[in-house]
Amino acid sequence: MLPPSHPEKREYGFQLFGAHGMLRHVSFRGDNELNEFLRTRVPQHAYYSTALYENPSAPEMDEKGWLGAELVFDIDIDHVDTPCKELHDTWRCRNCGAEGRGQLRACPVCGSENLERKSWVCDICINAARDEALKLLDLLENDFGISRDEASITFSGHRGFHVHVQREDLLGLDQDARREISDYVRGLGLEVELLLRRSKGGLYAFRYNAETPGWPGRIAKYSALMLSERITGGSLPELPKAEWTRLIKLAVDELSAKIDEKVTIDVHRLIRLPGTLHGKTGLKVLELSASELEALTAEDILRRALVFGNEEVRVRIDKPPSRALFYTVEGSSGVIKAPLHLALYLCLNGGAEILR
Amino acid sequence: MSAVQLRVVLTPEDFSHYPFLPEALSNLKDLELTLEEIASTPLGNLILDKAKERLLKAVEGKELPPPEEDYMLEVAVFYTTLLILAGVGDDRLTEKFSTLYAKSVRVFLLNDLEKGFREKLLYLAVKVFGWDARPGDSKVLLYFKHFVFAQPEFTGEWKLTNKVLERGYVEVSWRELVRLLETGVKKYVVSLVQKAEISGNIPEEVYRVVEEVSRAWSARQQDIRSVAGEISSRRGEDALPPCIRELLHQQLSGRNLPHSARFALASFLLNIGFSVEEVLEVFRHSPDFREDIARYQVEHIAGLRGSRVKYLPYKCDNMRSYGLCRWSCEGVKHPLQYFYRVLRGRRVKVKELW
Repeated sequence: MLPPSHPEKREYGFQLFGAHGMLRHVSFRGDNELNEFLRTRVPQHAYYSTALYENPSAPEMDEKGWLGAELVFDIDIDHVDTPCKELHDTWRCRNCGAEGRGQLRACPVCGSENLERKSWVCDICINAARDEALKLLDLLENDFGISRDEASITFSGHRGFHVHVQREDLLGLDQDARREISDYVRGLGLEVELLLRRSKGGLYAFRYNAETPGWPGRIAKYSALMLSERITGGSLPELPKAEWTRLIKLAVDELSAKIDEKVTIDVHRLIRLPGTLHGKTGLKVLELSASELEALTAEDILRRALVFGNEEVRVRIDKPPSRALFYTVEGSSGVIKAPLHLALYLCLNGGAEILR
Repeated sequence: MSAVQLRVVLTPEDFSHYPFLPEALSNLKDLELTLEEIASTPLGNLILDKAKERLLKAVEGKELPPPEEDYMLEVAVFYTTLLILAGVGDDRLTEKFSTLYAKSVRVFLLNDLEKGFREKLLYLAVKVFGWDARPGDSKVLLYFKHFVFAQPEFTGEWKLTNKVLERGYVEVSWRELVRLLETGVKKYVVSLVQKAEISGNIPEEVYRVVEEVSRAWSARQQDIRSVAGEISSRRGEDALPPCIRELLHQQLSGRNLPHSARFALASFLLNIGFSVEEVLEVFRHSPDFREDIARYQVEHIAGLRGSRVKYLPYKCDNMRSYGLCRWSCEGVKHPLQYFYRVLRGRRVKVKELW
């Protein structure tokens, strides 16, 4: 386990096997104490605060003495549309009992949002999440001047990545500032009117060119690509406003980083401790460099996060996902054979049972 | 981080316009004026009276008087005002005074800009507030951390997403820099009040002013509570979604809300049946309230002017993105939806997001 910076100023939270609720407001004097706790108590889930506190173990937030918080981003595949969700995610409506595959917001039968969901992670998910993380790193570097060396990246051990900005000068950002940064990387709040200039015949010209920094230039570049056949003399064509609006929306969908904004805005957040195991998957919360994130395939990342072995075991499972980790799972409910690490995942996440 | 070389000649007039400049304070220190002297000398009494006058104006939400031409007097009045604010110890009054004060400083900032004294503006940004600002011919590059610190609005052309941002620096016009400096002044004044410490006992005369200002402020708060009480008794405050309830409380306690927050609150209240007059009553507590402007805006939102469209409040997603909401209300996508559900006797599960 690699301890976070300033380990003595963090709050830690743990979920222990067989216990209800979370053990919170724990603090340690340093790495050794933290390691000792992990070795002796072996928690199912281990978290630490992105915030630094004077008294991290104080039970009330206002007694902790907030000193600042890392700027963090959470990329969770739940926020990204992927085709694989049909392969492994299921839902059941608590209101009308309807059920089906995929990831839905509301029940298609009765419209209720009270759904029971079961989701799984596979290499297709991780690949999509990796693309979002890479877009985020680009935005941080080109727009915010936060270099790749200043961003520490972890695979969360489940459905995505965490990016922690290691910059002491940004620790003091308040929630408004963090929301602005979060909205920026999501491309939220862009005003079409500010990007366009009225021209002749009810048409509009794009005010900026591809050389402009930030979102205006990013959208200009994207538009140049999409409108390549209509470009004359090196400049973007003039279009009706509705067409620009559609194009800008497409550009934002394509180029923004799909982060979970709650995590970035929250200045008291607990986040998974790198190097520990994720209690729902048995995978390691894995630290990666930006170049590793770029070079490795999704399967490589998942393989690196494996801790348990390959030995084949028999598992009894009800309605297994068709795809999990980098495996295609054949067959429906019943007993299947699987390597230990997959079997453990099926048990931890899906109520399967390993047979001896 | 900044590579800006600044050469600025500060004149007595500058100290009078910007009495919070550290150099202005060091001038005052040369005078060696003590609190006892403020309490017991004719000059001291004059200073105390002027400070009181400013604070009572702030309590009423009225424009502050112009600064004293004699810069020594101005600096002394300014710091005495801050000491009294520290003595009153009410964050809302401090916020209110600082907002009004920053607005009055803006006039001088704009003047300096028009006269071409750009280096003075940069001096404030870089040397006084510690911002990383790099001047160009027509624009200033401001480090994003300082831009978001001083951003007056989180929508439209102020939204960071709509700015040209490169390698950490936001491009702003000189006029925009003035607006950002106004927020800078406000936050700086708040921080000066928080840091102000009175060593030893407060002389009787000073204490009497602290009490008088506190009394006037409490009386004002009483008026505000009665408006809040009326809203609760007439409509049932529980029927308001948490975002609108919070905005209403902030508004009634005299916080200076951004335009987007005022729009959200006014459009919500108009949509649940408040009259223009009733909405204006709520906004009367703004630090910068001007009846003519406010009436025009509220009537516009009510659909009585301009496009004749009655505006709806923002939907929940936008409320969150504009920083006006930090909750998630189950099954609710629009603040009005919450209101009508509760009126129909349904409970809405609310979760605080951050």
